[in-house]
Amino acid sequence: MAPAEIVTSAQAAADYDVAVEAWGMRGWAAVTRLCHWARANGMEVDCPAR
Amino acid sequence: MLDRLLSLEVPGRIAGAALLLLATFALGRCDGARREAMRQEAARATAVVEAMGRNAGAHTDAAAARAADTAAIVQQKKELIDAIQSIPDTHPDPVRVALGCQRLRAQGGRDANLPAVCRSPSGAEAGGAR
Repeated sequence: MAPAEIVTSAQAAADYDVAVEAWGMRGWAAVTRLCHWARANGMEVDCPAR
Repeated sequence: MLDRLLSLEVPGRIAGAALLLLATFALGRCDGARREAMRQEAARATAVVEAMGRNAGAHTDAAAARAADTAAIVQQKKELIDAIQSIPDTHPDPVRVALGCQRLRAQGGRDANLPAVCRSPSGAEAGGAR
């Protein structure tokens, strides 16, 4: 959840951006790991590079 | 059994021989079917063991990747925070305010509950030093 401070504090807005970016990176890292796991188990799929 | 077969008349012998052949053929078929079933079972067991081996390797790789990913993401987040935390805070510029207001609305904030800056006619105030 975005804190209300993102509209009154540039620092809070930037902190929120960093948090969103880290969340996205964690999600895509998990997708990448799952993809490589599935491919190792025989699924024919193109995976993002590690 | 052969003695009894030989003691029969010719048509009887032929019929008996045919029966004997049929029984031998049927027994052979049963034996072949059993062998095929055993071969398939062995192939299935081999495939399962191979799949378990592949899966164990994939799990090990994923666990190592998870640790590396977490460390890299934590490090990047720290570097980003370090890069901005010593700079004096300011009001966000109008674009950032408008973006922030829309984010707050999108996550369910009603206009009446949003910060005052989100309720201004333009939806954003000018940025500048706080």
